[in-house]
Amino acid sequence: MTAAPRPLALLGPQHDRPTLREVLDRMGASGPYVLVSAGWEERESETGRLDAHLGESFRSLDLWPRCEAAFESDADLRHLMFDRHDRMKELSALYRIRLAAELSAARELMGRTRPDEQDPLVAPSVDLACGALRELDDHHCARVGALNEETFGEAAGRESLRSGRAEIAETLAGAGTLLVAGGHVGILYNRMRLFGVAESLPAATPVVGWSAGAMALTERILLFHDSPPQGPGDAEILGPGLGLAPGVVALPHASRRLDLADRGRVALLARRLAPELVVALDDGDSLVAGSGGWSARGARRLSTAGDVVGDLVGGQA
Amino acid sequence: MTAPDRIEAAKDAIAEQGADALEGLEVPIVEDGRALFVYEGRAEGVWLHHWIFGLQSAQEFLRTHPDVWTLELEVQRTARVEYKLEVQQNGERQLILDALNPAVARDPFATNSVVTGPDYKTPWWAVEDRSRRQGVILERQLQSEVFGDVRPLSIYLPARYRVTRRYPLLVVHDGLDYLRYAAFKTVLDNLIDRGEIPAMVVCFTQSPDRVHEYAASERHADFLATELLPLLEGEFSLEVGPENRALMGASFGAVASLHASLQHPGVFGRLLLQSGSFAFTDIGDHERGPLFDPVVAFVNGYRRAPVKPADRVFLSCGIYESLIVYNRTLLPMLQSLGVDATLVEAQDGHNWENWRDHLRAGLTWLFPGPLWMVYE
Repeated sequence: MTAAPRPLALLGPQHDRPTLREVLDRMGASGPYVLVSAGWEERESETGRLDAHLGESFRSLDLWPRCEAAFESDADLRHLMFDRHDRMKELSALYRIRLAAELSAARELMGRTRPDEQDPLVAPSVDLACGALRELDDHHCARVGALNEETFGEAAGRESLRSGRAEIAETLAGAGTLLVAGGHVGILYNRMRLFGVAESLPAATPVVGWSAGAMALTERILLFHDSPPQGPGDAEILGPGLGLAPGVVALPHASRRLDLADRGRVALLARRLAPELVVALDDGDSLVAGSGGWSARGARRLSTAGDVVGDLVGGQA
Repeated sequence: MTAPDRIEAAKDAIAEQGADALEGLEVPIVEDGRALFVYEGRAEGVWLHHWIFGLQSAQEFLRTHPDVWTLELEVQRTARVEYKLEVQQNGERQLILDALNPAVARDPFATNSVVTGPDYKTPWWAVEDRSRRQGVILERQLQSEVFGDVRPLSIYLPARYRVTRRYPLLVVHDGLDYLRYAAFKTVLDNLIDRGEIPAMVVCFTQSPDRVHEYAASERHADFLATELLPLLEGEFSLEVGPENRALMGASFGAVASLHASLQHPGVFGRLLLQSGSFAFTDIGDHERGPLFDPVVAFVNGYRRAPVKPADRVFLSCGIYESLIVYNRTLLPMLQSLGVDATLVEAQDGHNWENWRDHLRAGLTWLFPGPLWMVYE
């Protein structure tokens, strides 16, 4: 099991049971702390609770207002992002057509056997169905990745972003630890790409992300909700993440958003995303990368047998 | 079947003590799927009038004490029923509100008393919550060449509206009534703030002559597509393409929405149709009066040669309405045309609170929000 090449932690939601301070101390991740909270959108500056919890000062990268200012002054940048938005919608629509069919087939096949047993008749078909899902997810992720590289590559050269990117690079060069808060994961990821946060971060700087922040740090961002207001609630790949936390799929709010008691759904999600470690990050949970791999406090792994377990290694099948 | 205890106790007390027994009682008494209605006062007869299609509309009260009348009825657990009392005094009959019941519902024509089943709750999305970000409503006037007059528009802009973003557009028929009687602004503020629907621009239109303009009128369809839409696209930052534009309405407003989408194909790709008056006749004449003539002609023609009106359509209708039959008929027809369509049936009637209660399901069907993307 690979872990991150730098000190890194992925945390669950920090609203009700904040553990950030404890995790930072445990990691030995010291200041100066630099914060990305663009996922909070226009509420980016509302950091009162974080101030109180952390107990020491931090500096915000102010990605939200920087981006707003760039959009207002640079119509071409705005249209570049509008175009990406439209193309993302088209790619998602195409992806969902196949995803619904592949998931339906996989669910039906898995319904003919128990997740924890190898039925000699059905199991090969389940394997094929899960493989088809993985292939589809990979394909979609690659297409979104290509679009991202095109868009953010072009954006990086925009004059409207130049001074902001330079200031951010300077701030990150002096950062003791980077903190990435939750919120809207798409907006968070986009703002971090526009301002080159991952590229500017020194290789050894510790990073801690929670909720959407944890998702953005991984290699692939999975969107999930078993019972949204409308629709089937089919978990889907948004696209690549920043790749700072390889080998993990982060599921913040898993107990609220997923039916973790449904072994069939759990097993399917784990098998679909294998060999990545699929981790439920609920309130107070943490997953910390160390020299020996990932260690969990509270964080639980979704196993291919349909269980949700504290042991991170056992079910990497 | 054993009658519920509270109702039985109240009936016994009323029989013994008359009006004195009503002291401190919440009337109607609703318990375990039944309701006890009470009228206090001198009368020669009392009836409860509702508008439930297929049931006898006048239910007669029994005189259980010289000045107290009672009526016990079955009420479904999640039902919501609007009613009035008809009281005969000195040989004359008059429809009145239930004076003992503080729950009322309003619409442009009247106020009705309301009884709800024990499991009915006013939905959270219709209750104002000042902690949620509030949109604003702008007033505009549109000089219409199609109609030759000035049309007032109320335009909802979501909180944080900014020209550096683009927004889907929803056009609402009978818009001022939706705002007044269906808490539409509150619904939008709540659903947008929770991420259940995206931030959107909503144009509330109101016709001075809805029974004609909404009855499958080509002029009205032209007004929407050639006057209203360009005005809105010129002033506000809107996403382009039919998948980002919706029409909605209730009753005749639903007819106007469907009709306009068919008159101008490819312009409006989303429809939210509530209790649509989609009356048709396969044999003989309809008996709904002359105002329905153009509607029936339109629906009959559409049934003969149906085409896809939009990619996504949400239908809702109360099962206490005669219109439920037409709406049920429309659903499979739309689905057979490749429309992503659904129908939600309510234990309710042809009224604004029914329409309010299904705005969440309808709006999230048309425009799923960013909830999917938010992990706080």
